[in-house]
Amino acid sequence: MTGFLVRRFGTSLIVVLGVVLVTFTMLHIIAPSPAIAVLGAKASPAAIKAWNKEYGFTDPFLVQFWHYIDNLFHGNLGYSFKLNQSVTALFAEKAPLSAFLSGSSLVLAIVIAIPLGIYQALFRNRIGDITATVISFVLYSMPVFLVALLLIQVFALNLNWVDPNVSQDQSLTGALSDFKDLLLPIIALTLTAVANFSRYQRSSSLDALAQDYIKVARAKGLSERLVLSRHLVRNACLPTITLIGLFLPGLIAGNLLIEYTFNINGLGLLFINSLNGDDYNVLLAYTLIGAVFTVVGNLIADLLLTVADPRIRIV
Amino acid sequence: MTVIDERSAPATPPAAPEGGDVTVIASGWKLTLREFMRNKLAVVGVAILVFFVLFCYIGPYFYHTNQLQTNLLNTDGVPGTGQPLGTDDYGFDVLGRLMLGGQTSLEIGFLASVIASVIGTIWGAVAGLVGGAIDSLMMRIVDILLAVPFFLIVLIIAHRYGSNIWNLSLILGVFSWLAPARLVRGEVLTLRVRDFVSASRVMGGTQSHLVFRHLIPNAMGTVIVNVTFQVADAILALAALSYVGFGIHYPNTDWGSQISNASNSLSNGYWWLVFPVGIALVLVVMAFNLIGDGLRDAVDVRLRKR
Repeated sequence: MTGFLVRRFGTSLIVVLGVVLVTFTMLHIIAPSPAIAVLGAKASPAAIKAWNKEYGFTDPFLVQFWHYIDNLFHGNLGYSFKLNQSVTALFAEKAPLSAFLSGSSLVLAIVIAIPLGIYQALFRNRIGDITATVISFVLYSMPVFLVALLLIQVFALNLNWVDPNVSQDQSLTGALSDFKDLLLPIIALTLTAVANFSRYQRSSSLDALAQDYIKVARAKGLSERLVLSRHLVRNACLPTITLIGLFLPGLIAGNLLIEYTFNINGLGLLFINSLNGDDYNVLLAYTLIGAVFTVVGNLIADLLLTVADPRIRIV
Repeated sequence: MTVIDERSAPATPPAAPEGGDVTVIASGWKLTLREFMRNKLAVVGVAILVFFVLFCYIGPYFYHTNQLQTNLLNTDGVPGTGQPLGTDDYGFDVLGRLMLGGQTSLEIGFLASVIASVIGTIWGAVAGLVGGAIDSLMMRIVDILLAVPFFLIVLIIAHRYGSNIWNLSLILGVFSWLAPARLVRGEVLTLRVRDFVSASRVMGGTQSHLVFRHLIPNAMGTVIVNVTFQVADAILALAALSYVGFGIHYPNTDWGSQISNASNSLSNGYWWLVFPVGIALVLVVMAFNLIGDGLRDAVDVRLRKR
C-alpha cells in the first residue's frame, strides 16, 4: 500500500508539474509580460523595459520557469501585480466560499444521485424511472448557467422565494448568514452533477441486479433491504466512484460559471477578472488547482475503489 | 484430376434454396444503419438536428430580418405580430438572431469536433501501432494534457485569440483531442494483432499504409460515435465561453453570447431573450447526445440483434 501511494504520488507530481509547464509556456507565448496591463496602455517603452527588468521578465524563459517552480515549492504562488497582493493571500481569502459551493453541491449530488440511480434500476421503465431519466437527460444537455437562469426565473422572479442577488460578502461566514441566497447556486451545481452521476448509477445498478449473486442472495431468503444494502449498493457504486473522481476537475468550470452568473466573490470570478488584466500568477495558480483536482480526483477514486471492492485491493 | 473451373457458370440458375430465401448479408455499415434506425430516440435526435440545420440555414431565406443594423427605437420588444420572439437589447429580431447564432454554434461545434477527432485519431493510431517507448511517451503527454483544466486553458487562449469561427474552432479542437486519442489507441491495440494487419505487413505494407488503410478505417465506428458526443461538448463549451464574454464577438453572435447578453434582462421580465435561445441550445445538444447513444449501440456488434 505504501509503495503504491509513493509511486502514485510521484507520478501525480510529474503530471502537476507538466500542467504548470504547459500553462506557463502558453501564457508566455500569449503575453510575454504583464507590464502593459500594470503600467497602462500609454506607458513608454522605456518604462515597460525597466519594469520588465525589475520583475525578471527579461530573463530567459527557462530561468523564469525555474523561479516559478522554486517559489511553488516554497508555498509561494507569486504576486498579483494587478491587485497588489500575493496570490496565496488572495486565494486564502476567496477559496472558502468557492470550496463551500463546490463541496456542498458535490456532497448533495452524491447523496441524491446514488439512491436515485438504484431506485431507477429497481423500478425500471416505471413512471418514476422514466421521469427521472428524461429530466436527467435534459439536464445533462443543459449548460449549468442555463440551469441557474431557469432557477432564477422560477424561484426568484416568479415565486419570489429567494433573492436573485447573492450576498456580496467576501467571507464565507458573511455569505452564510444569508444562506437562503446561496441556495440557487448550490441547487444549480447539484442538479448538473446529479444528471451526470445518476445515469451511470442507474446503468451500473441494472448490471449488478442481473448478476447471479443477487439471485443467490434472494434465493437464500434475504430481505430485500439486506439484498440491496449488503449486496447491491457496494457493487453498483463502483463505476460511479470512478466517475466522481473524474468529475472533480469539472467542479472548477461549473463553479466559475455559477460564480459569474450570481456574482459570487469566489475564485472563479477572480479568474475571469484576472483574464482581462493578464494577471499571470492568478491564472497560473487557478489552473494549478484544477490540475491538482484532477490528480487528486483520480487518486481518491482509486483509493475508494479499493475500499469498496476487496477484489482490487492493492498490496 | 480435372480442375473444376468455377468461373464456368451453370447453364440453369440454381434452384431456390430449401427452407425459404437466404437473407442477403448486408455490409457492416448497412447493418449499423438499420440498427440505428430501429432506435426511436436516435431517430428523434436526427429529426431535431435536421430541423435546426434547416431552421438556421434555410430559415433566413424565408424569414427576412435585418441583422446588420441596430434599431434603437424598438429594443426589448415584446413578442407579437411581426416579431414572433420579440427584439433584443439592440433591436435585432430574436427569431432571426436565433438563426444567425445557430449557424455559428453548429459550425464551431462541428469544426472543433472534426479537428479534435483528426488529431486524436492519428495520434492514437500511431501510438498504438508503434508501441514501446514512443507509445508510452505519447500517452504520458496525453495524461499530462488531460490534467490541464480544459475550460480554464481554453478561456485563457480564447481571451486573446478567440472572436472568430476559425480561431474558436481551432482552440476548442486543439484541446479536446485527448479522449479520441485514448479511444483510438485502445482500439488499435486490439486491431494490430489481427490477421489482416499481419497479412498487410507480410505483403510489404508500409507503416503509413497500415495506419491509414487498415487501422483507422476499422476504428472508424468508435471515432464517429465520439465525434457526435464531441460536437455536443464543443457546442456547450462554446456557449460557456461566450457566456462569460470570451467567445464570438459582436456583431457576430452565437447562442451562448445571446444568453449572456440577455441574462441581465431576466429581472426586467424579458424572458424571450433567454429561454428561446436556451431551449434551442438544449435541444441541439440533446439531439447530438441521442444520436451518439444510438450510434454507440448500433456500432457495438455485441449488442446487435439479428
